[in-house]
Amino acid sequence: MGDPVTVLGIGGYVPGVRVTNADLERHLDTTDEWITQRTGVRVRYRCAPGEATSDLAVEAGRRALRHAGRTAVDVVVVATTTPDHPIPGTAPAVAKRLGLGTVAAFDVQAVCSGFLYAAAVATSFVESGSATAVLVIGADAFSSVLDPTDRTTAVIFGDGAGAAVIGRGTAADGPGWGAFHLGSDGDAADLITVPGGGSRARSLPGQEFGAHLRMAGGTVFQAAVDAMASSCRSAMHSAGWYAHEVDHVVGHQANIRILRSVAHVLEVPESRVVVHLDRVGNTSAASIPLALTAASARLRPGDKILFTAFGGGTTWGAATLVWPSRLPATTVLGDNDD
Amino acid sequence: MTDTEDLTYRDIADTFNRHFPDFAAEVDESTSFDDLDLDSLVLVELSVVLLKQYGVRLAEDDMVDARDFRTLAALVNERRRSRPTRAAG
Repeated sequence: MGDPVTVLGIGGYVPGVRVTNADLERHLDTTDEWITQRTGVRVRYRCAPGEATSDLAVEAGRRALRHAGRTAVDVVVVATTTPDHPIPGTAPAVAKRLGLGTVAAFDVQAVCSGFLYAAAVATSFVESGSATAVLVIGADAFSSVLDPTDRTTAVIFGDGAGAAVIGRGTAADGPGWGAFHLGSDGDAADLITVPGGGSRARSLPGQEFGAHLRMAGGTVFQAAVDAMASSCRSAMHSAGWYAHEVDHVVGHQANIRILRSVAHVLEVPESRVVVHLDRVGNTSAASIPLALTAASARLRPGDKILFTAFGGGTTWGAATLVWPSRLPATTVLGDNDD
Repeated sequence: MTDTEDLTYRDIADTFNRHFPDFAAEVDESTSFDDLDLDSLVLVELSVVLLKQYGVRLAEDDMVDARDFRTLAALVNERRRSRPTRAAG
């Protein structure tokens, strides 16, 4: 067996338009107390006019490369559900703007599970010898698909990007990534959906297809807890971990109540669940790498990290990672990040 | 409490208050979910706790339709009774 496939660097970025719960109170029939208590979100950031997903992805990617001390990778994978355009994918432009030349670059669309799906692909590239290092970026500008009058979704989502460089470490880094346990259920496609904008809508001109995100909150909640807990058990089993050994759970930051429920079902203490959604909202594919970056100051070499996500599709997944040696702490928002 | 003993509204209310300190309240037999301003997501989260604690799966509609702790306790009891008995050994 060669050196472990692990994380060589991480980085995150959120755009400049800061939206507090008090700001939302002025436009929606809601209150700061209601949003905080029911979702856990206090602040989210949104793109300015003219700003798009690739702009966020480039900045997060630049920070992750700098954190890894690298100027080159062999592949760029961008996990996004809100690409700059239907055609082409977002990754090639991101790779070029990062000065990575003509490397392989493509998008992965698994909604909020996108980062874990992309990390699984990246890990496989490295393990097979097809690449020595892969830049994985989760980036979404969900403000582009939100109905600003829908208080069930408008209060939750924020825009952002998070990134990780995945490649071979050294024996001192421990085992690195464990097996990825990914899943999907196309029967539940309607739970989280933007009906319009695709080939179905274009094939039926004149028919109405909504352009905004629609989400069946309660059903999503139960499906998410079931799928995340089940995939976490599989990932822990593959790694030979017991729940009490997990140092950090870095889950998709959908809702504080879902994260808490997953911890409850797995019997992992809530104190080990990384919570970042209060500061940036649900940033879809960006949420896991953003949360990891924000938590980096408290990660120690050898810490056992359990990742899990659930998103539209529906899709879900979990994976384990032993935090490598010598990765310095970094931040998303600056000194007061975590 | 044994696995076969029926739950009362008080058992469910105690579980609720323990897991949801933000919403914890004095609950009596006639307290409804509306009285405590519990929306469907809170009720779904409660269903996750009940599944873990009592082994019964309740859908979002089951929770919302129950409307109060007494009816919810009766529903949990009914589902527990209708569970297939596990073979010994």
